[in-house]
Amino acid sequence: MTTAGRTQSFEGRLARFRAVNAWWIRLACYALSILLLLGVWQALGHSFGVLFVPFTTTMSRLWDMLQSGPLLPGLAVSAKLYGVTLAINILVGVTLGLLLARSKLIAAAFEPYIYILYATPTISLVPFVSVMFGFEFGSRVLVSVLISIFPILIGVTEGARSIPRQHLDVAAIFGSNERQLWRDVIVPYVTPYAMSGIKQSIALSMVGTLVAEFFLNPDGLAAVLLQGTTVVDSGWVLAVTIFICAIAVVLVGVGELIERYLVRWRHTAVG
Amino acid sequence: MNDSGAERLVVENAGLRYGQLDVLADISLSVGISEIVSIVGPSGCGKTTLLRCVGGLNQLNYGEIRIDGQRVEKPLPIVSMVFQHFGLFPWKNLWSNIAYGLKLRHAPKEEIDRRVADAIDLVGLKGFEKSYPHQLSGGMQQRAGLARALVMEPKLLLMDEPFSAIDAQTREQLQFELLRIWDRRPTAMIFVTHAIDEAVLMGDRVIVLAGRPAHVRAVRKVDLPRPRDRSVVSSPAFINLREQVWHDLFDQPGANGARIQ
Repeated sequence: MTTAGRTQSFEGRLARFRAVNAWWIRLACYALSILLLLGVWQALGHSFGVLFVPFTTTMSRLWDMLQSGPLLPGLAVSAKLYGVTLAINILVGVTLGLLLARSKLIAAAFEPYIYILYATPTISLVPFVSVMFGFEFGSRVLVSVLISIFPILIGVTEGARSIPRQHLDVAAIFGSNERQLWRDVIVPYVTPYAMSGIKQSIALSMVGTLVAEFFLNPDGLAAVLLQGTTVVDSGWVLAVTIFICAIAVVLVGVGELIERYLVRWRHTAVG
Repeated sequence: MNDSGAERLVVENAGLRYGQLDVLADISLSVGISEIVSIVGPSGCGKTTLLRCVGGLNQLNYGEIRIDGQRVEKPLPIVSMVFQHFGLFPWKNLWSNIAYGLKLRHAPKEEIDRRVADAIDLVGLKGFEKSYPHQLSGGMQQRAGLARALVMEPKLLLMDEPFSAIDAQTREQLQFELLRIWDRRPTAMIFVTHAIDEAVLMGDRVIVLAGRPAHVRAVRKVDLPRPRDRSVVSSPAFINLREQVWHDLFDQPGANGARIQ
């Protein structure tokens, strides 16, 4: 009796678990939460008036700004800074991360500064950067990179340090040389760590790009944003913000897809 | 048991210490060309360390290890190893894991294809070539670990508690399959285990280690006929040997001394 009851309740719970985790239920929850957010926005917008315009107004402003306005030219400027930032983050972050993990001397020399820089609010460095390097592209790249490189750097270092001894033993027993060790063990092992850092850096590089543009002689999308802030045009500001968010979400999504492809040995379903 | 050329492996007065800690003390043993030597001892007594030294993964502080007369200072290509926790690369599918050693040696593609297919067949994993390790059970992963070692056609096979992380039923199955594989092509083998039954079932000799530092407490010759199958386990000779090894392991030394046979 008791056993049967317990079995049934277990099966019941299992069925409930399956139902809750069905894809269409998750999708519905997702859609519902977005709808709810937009509804709240719309309601708030109607009560605040010009200081916080409703969602619908924002979207029509966005549409106008895309048709004719500073948004796309601004994007072209920001995209260049963003691209260079992300490229440097990946290149320097992965290389330096691996070096830090594989060389105790390099780690001893550089690691303290990395954590100090990571903990420093980059904004406080902006005046020094501008005095030393000016307001041009190079300074912007520096500020933007300082804001967004650390997830990759730290992720790769941690990953490369945690390679299990057994993997290295297997490589040694089967006669792997150093180059083969990197190709067969180190790079594949570190890839998930690097990709998770890169995904965070994809979003942070956007923040870095805007901060750098904001505080070093406004340009690009940040200048467009400022243009609205100074005249307290909330529709303008919200439209630009939505635009930037949408781009960031798409870019992170692309990063997610690349990650899934690269570490498909983790994600493949049981079969 | 002398260095007459009939021995594949000779260990002479091997010693190893980590800092102040003696891990191996004066260990001497040998393994014949087609002999299985089981090494049994309590957990943490240093038997795995000894095996790692034979594999060239750890270095001795004194003494010498020779395989076919060649001093072991780094892993030798004629030696292969099966690891306790399988040691498959999770990012390589089963085929690539098994082909790993041959690929490192730049073997011709047709040869890799043929030998890997044979090895997969031998351990009964046909049809799972494209599976990733996380999709396979522990038993199947260790079959792959075994295939990866066998495909190299080693002259000395090192087994580091290969079945200790596998459930009891599968373990028994794998023990007899390993014996069957060995019967087809006898190879020198060191089989490290903490299970007395397994040591007796596998070995031509059982070396009992005691720690610390690890030293040889007893050597037992296993006079059980080959090929060995399930019936061996219930034979009086097997049970008798198992008892002897048990006493070697757990009796206080000095009661009747270390019995060397």
